[in-house]
Amino acid sequence: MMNSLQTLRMSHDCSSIDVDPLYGFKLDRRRRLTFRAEVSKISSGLVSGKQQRVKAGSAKPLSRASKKVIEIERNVFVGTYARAPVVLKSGKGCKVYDVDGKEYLDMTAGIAVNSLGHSDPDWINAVIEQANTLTHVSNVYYSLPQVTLGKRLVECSFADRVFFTNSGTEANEAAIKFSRKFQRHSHPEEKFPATEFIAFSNSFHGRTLGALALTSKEHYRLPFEPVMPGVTFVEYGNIKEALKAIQSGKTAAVFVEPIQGEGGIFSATKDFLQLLRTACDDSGALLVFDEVQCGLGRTGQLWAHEAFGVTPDIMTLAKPLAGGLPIGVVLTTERVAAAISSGDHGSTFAGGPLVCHAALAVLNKIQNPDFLASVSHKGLYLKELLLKKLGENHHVKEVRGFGLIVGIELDVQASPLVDACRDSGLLVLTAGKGNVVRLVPPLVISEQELEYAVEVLSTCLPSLDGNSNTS
Amino acid sequence: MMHSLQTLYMSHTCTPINPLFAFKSDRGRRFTFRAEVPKVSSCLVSYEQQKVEANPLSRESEKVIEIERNVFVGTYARAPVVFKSGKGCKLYDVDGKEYLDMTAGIAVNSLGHGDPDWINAVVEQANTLTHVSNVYYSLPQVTLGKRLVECSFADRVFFTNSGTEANEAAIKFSRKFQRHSHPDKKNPATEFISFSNSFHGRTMGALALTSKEHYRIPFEPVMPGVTFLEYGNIKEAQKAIQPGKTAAVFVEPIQGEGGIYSATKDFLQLLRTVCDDAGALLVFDEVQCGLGRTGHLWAHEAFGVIPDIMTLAKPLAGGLPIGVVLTTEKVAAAINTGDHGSTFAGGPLVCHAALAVLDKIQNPDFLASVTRKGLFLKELLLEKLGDNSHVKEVRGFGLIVGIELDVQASPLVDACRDAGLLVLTAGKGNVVRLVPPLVISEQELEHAVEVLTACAPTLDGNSSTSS
Repeated sequence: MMNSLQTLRMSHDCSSIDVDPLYGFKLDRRRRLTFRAEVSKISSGLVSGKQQRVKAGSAKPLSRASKKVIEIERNVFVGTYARAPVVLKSGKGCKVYDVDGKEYLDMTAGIAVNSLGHSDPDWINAVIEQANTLTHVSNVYYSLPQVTLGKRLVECSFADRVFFTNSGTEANEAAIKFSRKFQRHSHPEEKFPATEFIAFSNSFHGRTLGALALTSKEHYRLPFEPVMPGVTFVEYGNIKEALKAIQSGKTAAVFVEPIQGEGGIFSATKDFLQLLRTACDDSGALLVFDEVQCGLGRTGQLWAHEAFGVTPDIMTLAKPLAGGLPIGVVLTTERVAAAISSGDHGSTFAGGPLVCHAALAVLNKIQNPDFLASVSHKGLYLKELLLKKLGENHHVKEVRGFGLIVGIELDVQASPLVDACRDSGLLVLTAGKGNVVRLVPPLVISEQELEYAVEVLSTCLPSLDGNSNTS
Repeated sequence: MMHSLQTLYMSHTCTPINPLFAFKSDRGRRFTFRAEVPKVSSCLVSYEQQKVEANPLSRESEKVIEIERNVFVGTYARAPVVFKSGKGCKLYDVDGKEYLDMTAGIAVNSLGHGDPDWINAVVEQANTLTHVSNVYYSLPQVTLGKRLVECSFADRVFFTNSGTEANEAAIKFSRKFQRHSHPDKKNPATEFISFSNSFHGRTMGALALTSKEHYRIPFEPVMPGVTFLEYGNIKEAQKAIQPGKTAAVFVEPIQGEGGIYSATKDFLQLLRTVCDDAGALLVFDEVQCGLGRTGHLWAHEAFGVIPDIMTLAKPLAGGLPIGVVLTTEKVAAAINTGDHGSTFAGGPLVCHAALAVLDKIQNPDFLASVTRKGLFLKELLLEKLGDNSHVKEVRGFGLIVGIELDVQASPLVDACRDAGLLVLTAGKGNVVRLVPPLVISEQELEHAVEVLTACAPTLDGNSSTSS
């Protein structure tokens, strides 16, 4: 049964919006945005939310091919992941295909990794070229792609120095070690140098014991305690609390995501980041920006922090850099690097020729000002579309984001919507406490694809009505 | 100036050490091989010449080295050679000079460089699907996971991006297992036992299990709860592994970074028994010694002892970053969704590449050849170097071999590199570590030993002792 969508009319009063219009549009009923829009009828391929709700217990039947794979995984893998019941087989651009050949529009990019989409030809060429040349030698020796990539990253960022890892969590682990070594190096006579860290509510820095200690979700940490000691959590955005917590002789570094991805698509304010910068300078603590998810063009600027006009001492990156191959990076200032000696840290795989050569193909595109401008432009367009089509839905509390990291905050759990979208051929993620729909599509997505994504989302909204869970 | 090598004669009496592992070059027990050692080839440079004029770097190399010095955080004291390409067991630097690679990128490139089947797998999968994250299922991950479980002791698998990440996962699984097994307990077992000369990784959990103090001290406080025992010390282990206290014991069946030390069957069997009695888990770190390196698919097969958890990494994906944790059902049963995760790990491209590697390594003929070549290598080393006054012992299993010296190995390593042979060190820098691609030929092994022998005199100029 198809729902026909009604025309949405919302009135707009921009003067009373207290949120940066580039970032979030609060859907307070007193301040409403006006778009005259006629929303087209849903295409016949979509299943109505009502139908899905009723069949909630018996979701769309899985093909034999899918079931087989899912069964093997259930029997053979340590059960860490509650995966969506779809077995993906191939991808091209922003489309992925499951084992039955069903097509999906990918608004997840493998969790903000596939920024150039799937099977980018230049990336593939780089991989083939380098696989036929040299893949790995370890860091006992020098190799060309690593040095080229390192130089390029330093040249296009605030940083003076670079260190490669294999993932975001490894990058944050390195940042932790560099920070502590920096403090010891800066105060060699100090019997008790600053070793503690400040992290924030709704943060996510990784799953290994050091990065995990900086990750706020208690149930990620509690079963594994004692993790790395010395971390204090402060409310994200709380200037007063931060000022109190960052202490000279105690705080080694402050870890913050300029835009929290896993945490719910929350952006810092300029004031907040500027205050952290000042407080760190005053106390001798280092400021670490985790741009693993929001960096490398995701916000429409090369680095998320560029929008805030605040420069960190250390920045960690990972996800999109090598087009899907495992990689992480730590970028630091000269004074931080000066504290690090040979033998202090290392990795066997990191910085390998193949991964770095692939990363150069990605960076070549992402660095391009036109590419970045298109991300900004598409991000604004996406938010406008969402407001237009979903803005009036009573479950939608806010649409926020920068560039192509966008969140739709709901007043209920998002999972029925995510499931309904998937059945309709659209892949989206969640964030926060499960009540935020997270959209992090490939940065190469087209406006037409964005329009389609929003269409499917709005068609599937009724799936939220059967769900009386609060967020 | 060239040295001509003399014919070596050594007399043989039997050794008390497992002949498969180590041959001590004690002057009282010597091995007899009648061998005529060929003259040194003309491309080798004598140590005297090297000392006077270190091989000048090409402009090309210098340029790259200079950039690295200016732009990288200075964590690595790299050898002054810039590699550009590789094929089989040969590497080529930016000047086109050829090197025989006895390092395999630190025991990673088990199939050598540019293996055609591996390349085909990479090309094929890069054109299909590279990454989707673990929110979804994908075929290569499931195929690889199933294969690893089928060919090992394990019931369950978890993928990571590196060896250190695999050990971090093992740490988390161990602690969760203890909490899950004793849910009523206020203070469950959370501590770990690790050993002297161990190496488990550089991230804050794995680092806490790594014995080298100067790797840990600048970064303290690391993860709490680790006690270090002497590797091989049965009595100490019996005392230290305690029920209600010890969550798990982490041990490398063969310590690679630590100096190519092998555990004994007794030691590992004792650890197994004591862990069983104490309710602690036994974790084998086979990141370096696993996946065919010893001539067995798994190093622990040689000892007849089965762990609860095994960590792997290095060679599995042919040079792409990967790590694995293999566990028994009882360990896996303690882990719930959300307990752990990774964005990249288990990606289609990396896993498809790994299947190409595993296909070869699993083959019994392949493994048998590793054993055979390992024995051959040790015999050759004994033959050519056994009489050298600096060589204390040659040891190893399969193609993880160490030559323990009574001095620092670096002059020898440098001289070998100048002579076109790449080798590593281990332990306190006094052990030459040989971990070549597993596909290396006997001829290449002969050449490697020849170069090592020719360069051995470089050790004479070095009066520093090993520790």
